[in-house]
Amino acid sequence: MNTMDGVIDEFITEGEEILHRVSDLLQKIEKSGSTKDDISAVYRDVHTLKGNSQLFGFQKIATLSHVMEAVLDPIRKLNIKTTPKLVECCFVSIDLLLRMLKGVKNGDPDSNFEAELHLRIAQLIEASTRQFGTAFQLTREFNPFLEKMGLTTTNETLESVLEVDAPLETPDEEADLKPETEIQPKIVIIPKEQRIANKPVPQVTVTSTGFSSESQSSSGEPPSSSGADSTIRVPVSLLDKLMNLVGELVLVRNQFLQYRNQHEDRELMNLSKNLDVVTSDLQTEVMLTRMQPIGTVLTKFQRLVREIAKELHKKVDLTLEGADTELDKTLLEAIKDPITHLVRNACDHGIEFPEERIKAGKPDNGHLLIRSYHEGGQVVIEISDDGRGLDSKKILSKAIERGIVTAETGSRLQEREIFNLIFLPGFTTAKQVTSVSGRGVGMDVVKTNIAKVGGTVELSSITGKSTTIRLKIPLTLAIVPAMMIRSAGEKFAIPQVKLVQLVRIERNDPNYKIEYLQGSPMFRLRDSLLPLIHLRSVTGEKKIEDAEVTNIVVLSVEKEYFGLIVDEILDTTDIVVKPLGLFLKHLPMFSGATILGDGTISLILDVTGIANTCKINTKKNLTDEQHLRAIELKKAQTETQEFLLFDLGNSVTHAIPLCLINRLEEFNSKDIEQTGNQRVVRYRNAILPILDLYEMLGYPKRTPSTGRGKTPVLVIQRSGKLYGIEVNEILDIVTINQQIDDSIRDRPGILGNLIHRESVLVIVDALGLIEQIVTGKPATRTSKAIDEIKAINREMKNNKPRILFADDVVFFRRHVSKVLTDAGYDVTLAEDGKKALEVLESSGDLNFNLIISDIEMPNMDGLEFARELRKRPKFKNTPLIALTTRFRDKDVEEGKRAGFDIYLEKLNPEKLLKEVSGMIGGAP
Amino acid sequence: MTTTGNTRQFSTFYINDLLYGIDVMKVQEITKALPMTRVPLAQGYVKGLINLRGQISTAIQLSDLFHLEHQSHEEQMNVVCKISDILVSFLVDRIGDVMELESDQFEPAPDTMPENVRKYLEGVYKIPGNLLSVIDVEQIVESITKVGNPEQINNTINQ
Repeated sequence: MNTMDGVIDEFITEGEEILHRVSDLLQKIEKSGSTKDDISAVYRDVHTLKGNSQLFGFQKIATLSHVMEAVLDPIRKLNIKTTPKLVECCFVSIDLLLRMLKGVKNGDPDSNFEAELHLRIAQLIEASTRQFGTAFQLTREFNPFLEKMGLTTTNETLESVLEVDAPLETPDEEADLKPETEIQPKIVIIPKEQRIANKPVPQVTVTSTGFSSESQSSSGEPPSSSGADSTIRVPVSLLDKLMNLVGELVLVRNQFLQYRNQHEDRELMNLSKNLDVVTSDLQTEVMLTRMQPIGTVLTKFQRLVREIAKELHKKVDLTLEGADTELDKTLLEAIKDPITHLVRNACDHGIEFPEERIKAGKPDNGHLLIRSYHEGGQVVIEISDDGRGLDSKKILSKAIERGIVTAETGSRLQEREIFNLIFLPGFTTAKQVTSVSGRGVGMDVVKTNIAKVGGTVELSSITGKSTTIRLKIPLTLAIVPAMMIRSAGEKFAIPQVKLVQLVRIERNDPNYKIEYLQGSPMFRLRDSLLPLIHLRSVTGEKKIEDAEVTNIVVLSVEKEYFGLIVDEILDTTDIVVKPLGLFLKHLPMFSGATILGDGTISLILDVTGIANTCKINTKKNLTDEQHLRAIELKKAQTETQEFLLFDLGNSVTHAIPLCLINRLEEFNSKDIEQTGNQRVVRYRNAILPILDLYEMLGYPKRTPSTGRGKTPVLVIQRSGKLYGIEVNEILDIVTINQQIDDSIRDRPGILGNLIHRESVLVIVDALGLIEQIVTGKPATRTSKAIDEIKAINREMKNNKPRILFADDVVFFRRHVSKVLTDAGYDVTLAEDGKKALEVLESSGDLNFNLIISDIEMPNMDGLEFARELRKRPKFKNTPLIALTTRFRDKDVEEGKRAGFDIYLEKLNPEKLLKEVSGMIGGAP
Repeated sequence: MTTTGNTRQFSTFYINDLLYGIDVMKVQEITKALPMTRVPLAQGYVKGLINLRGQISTAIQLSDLFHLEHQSHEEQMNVVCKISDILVSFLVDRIGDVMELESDQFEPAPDTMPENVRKYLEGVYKIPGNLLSVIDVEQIVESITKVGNPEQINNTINQ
């Protein structure tokens, strides 16, 4: 209802504007005669008012404006002069319209208007008739319209008409408007009932029959004075000016405060405090004037969606969520078109026809949701539909057809990458943003427009189910959080959005140092080379000192990273961006300037500009295809496993796959208590057992370390319970792209080794060790079991059982496939349920003897996968194992219902092999 | 002084004891020296950015623009002009009077002046005992906003 109120307010405001404008025009016409342009302007305005009031159901206003429109029409068309009489009639009608609008505003539909309304209509028609003498024509034109309202017209010559307004209570100014009595065609408007009665009507006073509909529109709303009067329209330029002035005021205030600090005057102190508070409040409020609820734009989509749906013969419901989220006005304008485009796309291509939807088992009403909310200093706008989703195959073939990618590259693309192809320019063939001819049309324009205001676009889609497009927009263009740094004695600001991390290197640190590749500085950041740039050299400084400490600001440009070496890292602050003068437009490394709190000016670094000047980002020279390949390569590199490195107090570096670790904690040594032989700590309202890995791995005894204040603990979840592993020191997180070498496993609890930076890491079998605690039995681990199964399988080598394993985590895929392969199974891998289904469906005659699946996976999770699988007759009876960490009864039950035969824990190869061989032969 | 009706008023100032003037209508204000933020790699005559009560103004060293040896080491004054919403501060040595000058005292800048200086001048007023060079502010803004050669900047960086 709130939004409706707002719309009605808007209608009233606009209506009043129109009427005042018309009134001005009429005055001009009255004074210096009518011109075609003026009449046309009046006609247009009245026409607008008619349309608006009809839309909102204010029939009386609509009727009167319609009559005015009709009366003006011949004058406009024939390009003749208005008679003073007609202008006069128009004036009083405008006055009535204004009062009726006021009535709407006050929620007080005054029935007194009706009598006057009829009078005005009669006057208008008469004035017109007098000029043209075409009463018949005119009245006939009105007939259907008036009849609809329960009125009819006659043009009988009735004496009484001549006294038309005498008995009416009317405002003073029309006292002289009495129709003159001489001339002929007379029009009388009579309520239908009276016409049937066929009695001569004494006057044009009309009862309210047929007009009752109007009162509904505003009844029920409490009469409030807070109508359109409480808002005024102000040009945005004025607000901008105010904003600037407030900025200046803030600076003056700052100077004043500085001055105050040098004086000890109580009164001055108090005054300045007040000034401080008032200035800050003023600043906040003025900022708010530029903010508008996003609903002002979004509510317009209700109609748009209805229209498009009707046009396309589809059923679409639009839901708006978070319409009161506020956004800077300029931004609001900027996102309007992109969102319109996305909404159109969703209706046109996302949501299916009702029959199609029913066939797909969906309700016939398509659902479109626009949700907006604040997140991390940005406004997120989500546009999601429950339509057919994106079809990656179609997109890919189109992209190949358009030459955006080659078939070869395309075949290696992930689904998400394929979806993102639609954002590439050239994917669309349409020239206009608004034309609708295929999903993805103009998406590059959407992306560019959003990027222009510093926003981003993300897309996700489940084929056959839904599409969600997420726009992230900064709250306001003007204010940007930034990191302040110093270089060569000057302060510079770096926009926070571009910042990835800060690195500090000390000169004598043996582990971290800057290396040189053909003279270009590089830094190994988590094992990938980060190109470095000296900000001093970017700003033309000749002297580059070899400092004791090097500060690197790691920045990202279009997903490429580089490090900027700066002299000093200062603090973060919100800055107001001011464009640079034209003189400095040619300096690509600066995007603007800002005035800091102390009144000094600081330049804002343009990260993209710096990267381009220093040729970091060579993407521009690449074709799109090369770019995609580069992304792919990068992905292949990142598709590696992360390990947490830690020290246990001996010379060996240990590691645990990061994905197993729930949290890293640090406990005070005195908080660790003892229950029996087990050390525990109270943690999140439960008891967390603390395992001594050193002891469990059976390393030689050491003197217990006492007196240490803090103990770092790795918290690991297993079967829904938490366990803590006490370590000496947490060293690092590294990314390693190798298989675990399990040839040396000198003690239980170890999975194998990895080589990292020329040292050997010992990979700890954390889950196995925890099991040891739980079961009380030392984990004999896999080697023996694997060997036995290997032997058996060697005998039946030629007939390897085939297993499909689906898991989204690379580590588990590698680990489980190794365990199974070593045991002699033929393993096929899939990254999620969806991929697994695809593999199964394209497997043809090859049969999988067993399927193992993770539960939690993107795109299609294990449960859905199981259900889908069981639907297919071919796989109805294929054994299906869930390999998971979710072990609550509810989960297991749900899994069994979905079609899983058994539930197994991750990283328990022994048990896995036992179950596998039990199910598909190769007995243990 | 008899006026023929065709007079203009100029805000005058000195650079190296040479007298210059700018049409008063184009001058927004004159301020004392203000703190300046250097802009690395900007043209030599762009001395920096000045905070003029919340507005950022670009400071232009006129003596550099006119290829004059800069002699004065005192703090320079700012003659602030606003040209199509761009604020420019001209750094000058000393402020003179506002002069009202008649058009018959005016002459275009003689051809013998070096082209790179002449293009920034409207012309010269012959006043008793001195010559007043009238600065064409628009011309300065226009010609120096066109400068900008990214190649040159790259070279600077690569050196």
